[in-house]
Amino acid sequence: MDFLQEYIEEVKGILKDLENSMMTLEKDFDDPEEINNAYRFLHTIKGSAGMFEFHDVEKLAHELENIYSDIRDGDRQADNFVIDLTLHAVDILSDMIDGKDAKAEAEKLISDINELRAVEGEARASGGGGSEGGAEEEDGLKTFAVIIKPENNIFKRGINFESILEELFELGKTDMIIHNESIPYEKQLAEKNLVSTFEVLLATENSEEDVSDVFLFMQENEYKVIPLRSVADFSNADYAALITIDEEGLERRITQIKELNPDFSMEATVEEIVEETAEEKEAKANMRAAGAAQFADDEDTSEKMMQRKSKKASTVSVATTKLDQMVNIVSELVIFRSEFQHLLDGNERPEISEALEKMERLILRLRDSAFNVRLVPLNVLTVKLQRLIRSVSQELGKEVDFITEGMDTELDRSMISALEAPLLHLIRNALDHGIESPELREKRNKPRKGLLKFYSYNSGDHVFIQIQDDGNGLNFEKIRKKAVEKGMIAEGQPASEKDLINLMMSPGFSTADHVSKVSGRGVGMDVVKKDIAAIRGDLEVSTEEELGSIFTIRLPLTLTILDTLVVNVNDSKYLIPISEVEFAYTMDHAELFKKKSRQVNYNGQLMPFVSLREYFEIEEEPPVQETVIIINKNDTRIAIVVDIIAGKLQTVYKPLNELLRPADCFSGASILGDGSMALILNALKLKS
Amino acid sequence: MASAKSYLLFTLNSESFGIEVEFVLRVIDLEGLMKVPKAPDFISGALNMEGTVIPVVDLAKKIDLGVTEVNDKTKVVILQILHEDETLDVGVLIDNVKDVVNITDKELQAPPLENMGFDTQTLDGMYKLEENFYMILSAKKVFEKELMQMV
Repeated sequence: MDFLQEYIEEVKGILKDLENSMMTLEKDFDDPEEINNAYRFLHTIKGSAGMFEFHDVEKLAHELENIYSDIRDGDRQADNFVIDLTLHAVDILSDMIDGKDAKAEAEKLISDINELRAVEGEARASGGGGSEGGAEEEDGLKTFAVIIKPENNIFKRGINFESILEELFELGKTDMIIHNESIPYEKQLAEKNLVSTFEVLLATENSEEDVSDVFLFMQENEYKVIPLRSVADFSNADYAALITIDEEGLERRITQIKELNPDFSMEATVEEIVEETAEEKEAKANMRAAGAAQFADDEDTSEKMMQRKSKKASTVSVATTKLDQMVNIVSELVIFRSEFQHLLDGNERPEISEALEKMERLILRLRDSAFNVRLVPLNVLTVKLQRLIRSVSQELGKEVDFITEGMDTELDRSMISALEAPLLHLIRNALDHGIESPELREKRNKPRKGLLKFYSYNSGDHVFIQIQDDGNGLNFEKIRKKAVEKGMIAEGQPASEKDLINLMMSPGFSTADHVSKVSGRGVGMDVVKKDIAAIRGDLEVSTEEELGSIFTIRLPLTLTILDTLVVNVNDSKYLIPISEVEFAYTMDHAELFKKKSRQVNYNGQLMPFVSLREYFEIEEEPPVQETVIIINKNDTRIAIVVDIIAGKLQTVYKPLNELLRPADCFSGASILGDGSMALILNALKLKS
Repeated sequence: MASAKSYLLFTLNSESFGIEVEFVLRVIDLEGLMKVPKAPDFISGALNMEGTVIPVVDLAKKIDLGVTEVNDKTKVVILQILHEDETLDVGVLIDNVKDVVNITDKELQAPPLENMGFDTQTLDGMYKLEENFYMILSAKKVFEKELMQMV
């Protein structure tokens, strides 16, 4: 998955929204919702730009955000000038996102903004990169050699090697040399068996640490980041241990490096490079062009080189409504096929049945692909989360262990993208407000390193995502004070902890005492809550002072694939999620109902059972032999009695709407292969 | 000319009804109805419409008009009711579709207040066509309780 591409698409969407906001705002300068929206859009752009190293975008968005912050706080009035400014910024931002050089224009605009704001000190602070604007080193590129020797089990560890390389390529200009390519690289990938060693020459503005960050998930012995300061570094111990370079190879590398980074010095160290004059710049640009030409001529058979451009995965973003439509049509197709079969019944020729079978297989494959397109495991977010945690904890001087669990839980694609912003926000909050500084933690007899847990699981008809920290916990006194300050409650007004949590999640509430890049300002829990509510989820908080907090997001399953057991009760079929089935066996009806106590003996334990025939008030005679199914859901066991197990089925969960919700012994329904429907049992609700 | 709205006219238990077309997604034959045990009494079951589970309501029961006699000709009107930001998809059983007509506000008479043998609180008005009186149902009023619970 190409995050950068996704990010670009996302920002473009947000910029469109921002433009629309401006159009509405133009009609009513006092529209608080549009001002809020504009502020939020800019905030989102700023936040994600930082993560993708679009520092100029980050800076501009930040400056503009200040204006809307002023307007929101009532320190300024929106007017045509502000709108013009914003629209101009939209154009510049979209150019920058497209990779065009708009730095000069951006800087001009930023100075306009600062003039407009004319707040003392502010102009200077942000003009020079500022404390928040993502300071960027002006001095040139650093050069690294990155040598990657993945272990055999890298795919088993769930690592997407391609995306790691991709990420590395995105740090700057790169050249890759593949060693020991006895099997073509593509084939190695396809067979999930990497045998080669990968040598990447990289020229980047990022630090060594940033480069190492790419390999967060790899083991330390699998990669080596070697800073290249002079030619001598090619033969240092680190390099030599992994790759031996002959004279010819050395020359070639020098050429490559020069092409990537014209500043690369043969002898001098980077520190010695002094500011260059315009003439030098021009000369270097020429050299760059020359180097590129040379590179094109430079072909080698033993070492295959790859350029990053060719590696861009081609993806198309599709409106989810179109996907929905496709899934529904495919479901209908399955139904139609069985209708067709039915029509032919009796006078079928062998060649027709053969063709039908072929069609069935194709339809099933089509169905599977259609379903799969929509599902994405949560771990597509892991890298983002991990990087965020690294950078934020460093910035705040906090130490934290990040543990994830259940990242393979699959969610609808639309949910994953909708979840990203709130999840990042919650994590940022946990680091900023939750986890204490190492010193304070020691004082509290906690380990210096904080613990941040991120886990996800399916339970019944919901997916749960929890973010747990072992930090401060919520400070209700502080929340209360803030709420009073903001005029949300009166001074002496009683408010329960639950009330206070709700206040905390209301618009305009933020306990951050100071404006920080980390938690932002004002864009708070209300937005998180709103974002989650938009995908029909809800957010709960449980907290214990000085012990930590757990934020639980509960999401409906909507389009989720379930493995189910199909059971018959009288003339109807019902589905039980296989994950909930612990054991099943048959038993004579008479034997089962012999005793009044209505219990089954399971593993030496007596358990009460629920007969679905009875529960559903079916009057027909039960079969002689019935089936007992022991269900175990979250360690709660229940025994149910059905007629017979009819089979297994992988199926798509369909929610039941409001009208059917009173039948809470069902969590949803599914469409069976023949087009008929079956209800999914929510066994725990059978208990009473 | 006052604004006119389109209404679907239909019969149910030998009464004549109408409902605003704006809420009607489509009218289909009753086929493949799945029983839903433990559902409220007025729910006949659910059916699959292009991959969506649509609850099917015995409209007669819902408005206290008795019980719908299901036969080969029974139709289901699939309604989509918008309420705040949510939509409620629901099918209602009817006997037969009569017509689709435009009715202006002027032509719409006040609903009868007296007992008509069903819950007249669910009506928007009454419409006279030739010698027939059509009771114009309000989808929102029929499912008022359920819509309230949704928010």
